[in-house]
Amino acid sequence: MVFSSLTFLFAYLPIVLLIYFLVPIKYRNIWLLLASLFFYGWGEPIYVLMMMFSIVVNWIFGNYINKYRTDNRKKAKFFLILCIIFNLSLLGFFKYYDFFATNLNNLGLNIIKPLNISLPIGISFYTFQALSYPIDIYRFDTDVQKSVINFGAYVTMFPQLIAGPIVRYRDIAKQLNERLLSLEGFASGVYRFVIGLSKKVLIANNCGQIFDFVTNLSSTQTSLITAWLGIIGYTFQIYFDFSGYSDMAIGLGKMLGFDFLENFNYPYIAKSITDFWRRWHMSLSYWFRDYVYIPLGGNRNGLAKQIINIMVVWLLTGFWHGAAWNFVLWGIFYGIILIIEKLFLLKYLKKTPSIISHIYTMFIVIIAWVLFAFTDLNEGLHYLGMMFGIGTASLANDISLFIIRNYIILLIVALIAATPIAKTRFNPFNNETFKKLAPIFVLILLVICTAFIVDASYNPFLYFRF
Amino acid sequence: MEKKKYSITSLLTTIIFLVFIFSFFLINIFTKKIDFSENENRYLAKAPATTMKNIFFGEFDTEFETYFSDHFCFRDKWIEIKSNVLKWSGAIENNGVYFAKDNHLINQFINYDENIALNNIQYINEFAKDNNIEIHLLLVPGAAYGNKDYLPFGATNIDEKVLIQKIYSLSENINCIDISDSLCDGDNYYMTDHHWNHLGAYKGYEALVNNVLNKEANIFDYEKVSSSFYGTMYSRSGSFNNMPDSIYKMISDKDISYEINVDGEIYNSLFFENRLKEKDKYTYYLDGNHTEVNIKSNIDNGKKAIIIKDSYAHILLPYLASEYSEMDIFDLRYFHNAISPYIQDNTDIYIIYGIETFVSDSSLVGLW
Repeated sequence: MVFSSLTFLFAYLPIVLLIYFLVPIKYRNIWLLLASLFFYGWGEPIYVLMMMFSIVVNWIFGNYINKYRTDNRKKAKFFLILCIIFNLSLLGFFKYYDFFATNLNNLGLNIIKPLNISLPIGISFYTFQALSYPIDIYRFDTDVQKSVINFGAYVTMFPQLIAGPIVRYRDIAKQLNERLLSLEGFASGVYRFVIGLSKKVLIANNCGQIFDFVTNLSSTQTSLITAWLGIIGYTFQIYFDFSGYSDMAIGLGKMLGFDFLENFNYPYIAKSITDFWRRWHMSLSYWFRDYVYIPLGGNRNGLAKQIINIMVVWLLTGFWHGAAWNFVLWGIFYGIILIIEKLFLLKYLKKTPSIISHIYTMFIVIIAWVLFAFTDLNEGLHYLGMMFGIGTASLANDISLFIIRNYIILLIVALIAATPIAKTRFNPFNNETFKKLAPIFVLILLVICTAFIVDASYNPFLYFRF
Repeated sequence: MEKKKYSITSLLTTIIFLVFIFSFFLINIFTKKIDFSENENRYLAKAPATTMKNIFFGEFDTEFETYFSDHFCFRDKWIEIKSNVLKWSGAIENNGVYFAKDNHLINQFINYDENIALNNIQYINEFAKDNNIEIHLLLVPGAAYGNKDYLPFGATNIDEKVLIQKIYSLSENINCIDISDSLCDGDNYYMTDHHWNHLGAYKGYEALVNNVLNKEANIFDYEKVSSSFYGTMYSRSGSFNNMPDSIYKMISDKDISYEINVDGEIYNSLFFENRLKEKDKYTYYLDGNHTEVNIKSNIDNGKKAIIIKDSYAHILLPYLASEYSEMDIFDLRYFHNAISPYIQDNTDIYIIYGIETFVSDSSLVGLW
């Protein structure tokens, strides 16, 4: 179930909220756990069992690590390593087994067969989330969670279960046991949720249409400008999709009384790739920083070691995004750029006019999205070629004009929404009188979003041919 | 828990949100479910089976979500709102339909399968060669070409005239008839449907008669039989406040009587009055899609015709029927037997397709 579905908005959410606020406070975490398990099991009921197993195992490991962490570091470390192995094996098996099997087969080594198992939704997110718990305990960053229910509610919490933000246990430990519910908090959650929903349904989905439209064109119909319009559509789609989802998660969290960390900070206004990755999917960057980069030694053991550490982190980051070579390549690409920036480029970027550093950053980001968008490397390279006039019929054509004409307002809205202009005085909603109109604004967006979601199921194509 | 102060804005935001999600939640439960969507011309999803097997190992989740959205309350209103929001935001198209001038809704024609197009003309070539017959091929451009003057600025489509000529150039010993230019002149298409109308079809008929039969076309009068036809483009575009089209009956100045056999049922008219009560009123002509239709007339010239066609032919055939004592009409999407046994001496063989179907439908393989 995704947030931007009618089932979630008009069946699941009303029921969950109603019961959440009706039951006594001490039962809220149980209800949250049950509701989240249902949410998770909706698509793949069988995997709920695996999820419960994972929760119990992590919780027990947590207890053991806690028991030994002061007096017997060695033993605590032993349990920690076991726990990490357990989590990574689950992730490795479900997400990467088939990838390795297929690649070994391609090399002629028919040792293992691909199993074609379906990937449990959100496994990349909740594995990382669960992992933060034993590590934080081991490092004395947090206390043990006495209740397996509270711990289960943390791991499964439906707002961030399938697409993040990746909430570290320590950030939320207090709120799990005690949290403040207020009308003010609920309303700001609603506002945030509706903004996120609109980003996803109105901007991301429609920008995605541009990319789909362009990738479906025949080679005689493409042009350089069309290829750029397509990837710009994708660039907006992926940002508004993901950040919209994070907004919805944060909003739902607020409605339930939780405060999650921010996950995006206007990444497309970054002035360098280093800056970009401090703004994009921040919870993942923090995770890799805290649990991989720093434990590896970070920047403390000399430049050579630091470069290796950066490459390791980025190889893993790429691979985390998907079990396919294009994601690995995408990660390596970013790793290399980040190292170049670290070595010398960042110094120059600071001196250049900001317009140039913006263009440089967006250029790299867009090129990287091409690698990201096509799981088939050849298609990706072909697309990249078209962006530079290789394999296209012309510079611009009537298709380019159509895209601009049809989507111009959408692209302008997307461009504005990708920048923090909304936080400045140019946004009328920051003015106290206009702020009072927020409820109307929420209503209008809800109506329009619902219309777009209903329309997605509208399927009058069947008899068109007849 | 300490009670905090709150603002009216927060209270209103919360109330609006909760009322919104709860009211549609409740309305959905209590609205009567309909089985069939007129606009989509399809049966809506049925409630999924609530067996343990389906829930745990089946497709219960997707089935439920489809069911839930198929039966979402005020469905058509939502579709219309979406269409309007796009219009207000300056878009010129929704679901692949252009919002064109003067209430015209025109299908966007951007993609086609080149292989299907090439294969189809090859099948026709082979068919002609194997049976040693002459075939008259009429490919009709859609409104995207014929009504291109109505298109909004920025609209683009594949040039259907060029496409038709390209296909014709690949034909071998086929009599190819091109009416692309004449269809650009006047109102030859419905505003809200993807078919040509009675005026466009008359031009097609005229071209066939001049070219194949070497004679002048018969004269027809028109009688308006419906003024509330909302076609496929209307449904797809969600432009539900668009003006409707009218349906006209063609009346020959000659007194001809027909006996029409539609999949085994016999009727006396080429027009089907009760179809005018339905949504898709284009089926008024020849009762819409059927596997095999036979038309016998009291015209005593002994001439026969075989028509292989898609729905574009339905509105043309009432004209063409005035030239033949017998016609056999086949729709290869449903007819899967050999056509050769139907071919006799003194039989004209026509293949009549809308170009947009011709390049996307692979059922012409049935000729082969």
